[in-house]
Amino acid sequence: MVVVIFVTMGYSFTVGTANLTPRESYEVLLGQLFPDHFPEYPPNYIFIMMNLRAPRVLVGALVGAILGIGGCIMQSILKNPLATPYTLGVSSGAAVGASIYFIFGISIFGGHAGLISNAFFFSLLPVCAMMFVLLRRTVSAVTLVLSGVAFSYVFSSANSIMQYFGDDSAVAQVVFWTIGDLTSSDMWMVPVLFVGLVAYLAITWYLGKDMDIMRMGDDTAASLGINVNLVRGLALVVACFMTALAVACAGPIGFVCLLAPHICRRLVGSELRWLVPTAACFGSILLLVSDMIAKTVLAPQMLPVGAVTALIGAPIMVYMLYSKRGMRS
Amino acid sequence: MKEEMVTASDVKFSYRGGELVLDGVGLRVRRGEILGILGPNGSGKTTFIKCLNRILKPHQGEILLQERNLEDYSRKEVAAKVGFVPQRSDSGVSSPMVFDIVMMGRRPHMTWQSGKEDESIVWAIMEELDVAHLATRHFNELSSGQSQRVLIARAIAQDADVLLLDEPTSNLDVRFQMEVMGLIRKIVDEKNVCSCAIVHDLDLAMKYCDKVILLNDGKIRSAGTPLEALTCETIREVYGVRAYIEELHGRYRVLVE
Repeated sequence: MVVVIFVTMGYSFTVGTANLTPRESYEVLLGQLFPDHFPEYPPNYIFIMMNLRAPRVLVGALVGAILGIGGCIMQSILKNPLATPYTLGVSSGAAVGASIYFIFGISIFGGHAGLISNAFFFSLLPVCAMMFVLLRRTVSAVTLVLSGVAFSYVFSSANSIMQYFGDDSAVAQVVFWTIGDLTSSDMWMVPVLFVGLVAYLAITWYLGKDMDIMRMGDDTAASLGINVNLVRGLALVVACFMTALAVACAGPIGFVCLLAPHICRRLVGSELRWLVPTAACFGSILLLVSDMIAKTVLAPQMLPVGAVTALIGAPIMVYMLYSKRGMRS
Repeated sequence: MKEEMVTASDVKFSYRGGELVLDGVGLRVRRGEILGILGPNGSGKTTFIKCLNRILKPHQGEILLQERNLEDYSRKEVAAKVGFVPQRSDSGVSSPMVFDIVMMGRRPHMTWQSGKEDESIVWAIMEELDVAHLATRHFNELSSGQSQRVLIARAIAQDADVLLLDEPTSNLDVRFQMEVMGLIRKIVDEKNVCSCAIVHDLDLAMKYCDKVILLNDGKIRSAGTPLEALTCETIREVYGVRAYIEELHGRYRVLVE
């Protein structure tokens, strides 16, 4: 699967609205790394590759992986096949942050990082609230899901109210943002997301076994020496944090969180130590393929990738669910 | 006298400041003994058993595990000494495989990864409990009897000295009830461990338990050997039914009118 990611990424670099041949694309890219060995290209080529295509592909791959992992963790911790980090209000929080930025022009950090910092900050609000409660007492999975849904509603009404007062173009921007798009990807996001992803994988690997045991029930897990509240809280906070990061960079791209775990469970079973890396790979591939389709189908018009993932993903999921009825869900 | 494994005295517990669910209960179990915890629904049996492995912390009272205060053990130490089979296990989104479930029992003894030794222990226990052929099946595909055996196998893999069983025979047909209780008897005898089991069936308690405690409204109504503790009076008082204890084919039975 890792190979597939790299092939998809490799191909993805060469796809775009501008007329660059694949050879040119790669020479520009590699020329940035090893300036001596490759011919020089005009600055607009370099701009296209380094500012438009490369960040888009790299951010897409990383965001896809992060979302895929988030889904695995949430479905396992909340014991709910529909759970994703979005269930806990991460995406609706981010949307509020974005609305505040677009409609009122208020942001935590000024300038370029305004939108991203707003989205990030607001998407962390629900999980902060939950952490606050979790530190005090034990909370069951059902309570967590319900309070997450409640949060989502609060955020979406806040959003509606803001949109009601906002002017047309700002509201349109909010709507576009909430579909999820990779156009605003930037090179500086790549190292941030990459480091985050590595840490994320390490933490889930460490917690994976305990989370697997917790699926047998909290009492069982506790009787096996697991600090149930700690593991659950940590997993939730880490997953929400990472998803918030991904959402801040690319908008709330839906469905990857939901789809990747379900499909991968059919491939490698439900043990988290194997499921998580597989779902990460699958999430990456799904987002990259969707993005390529988004770039090419109506070229030169680009579609928002968030809409395309669900469009491709949903049929795959339905097909998988019905075709392998013999396997356990 | 055999070693005292669990000694609890004057345990009081209530959920979130509500009414007392346990009001001064206690018990004493030695190696090689099965203690039956009996009582009507809602009498505090499950709560009590969960206090014994510190899933719940009593407000008052003392619980000693091998003569050392339970509070002084670390989580992992408790887990290595006390195995627990809950009443129900639901596995949420997807259910693990039988082998993995039994392997979970090795967690208190692992540092990082399961080793070859853990694997061979798990296989041996699965053979012993006749679930080895189910190793790659998913838990939610099993029948009630099979899943109960798998959960007991996990508790044994834990290598615990105390087995806490919350209604090990619920949902089982007559034959499996006998089989599971017989199995517990065998494990307790052979491995020289002890067990506290919540039992609903008074007959099974008569047959398999060395001692019983009869709970009612969070208090102990009677305690002792099954014959001492389960009498016409105590049963009538606690369960509100008229019952007779009769000897039949060399063992005592509880006949409910």
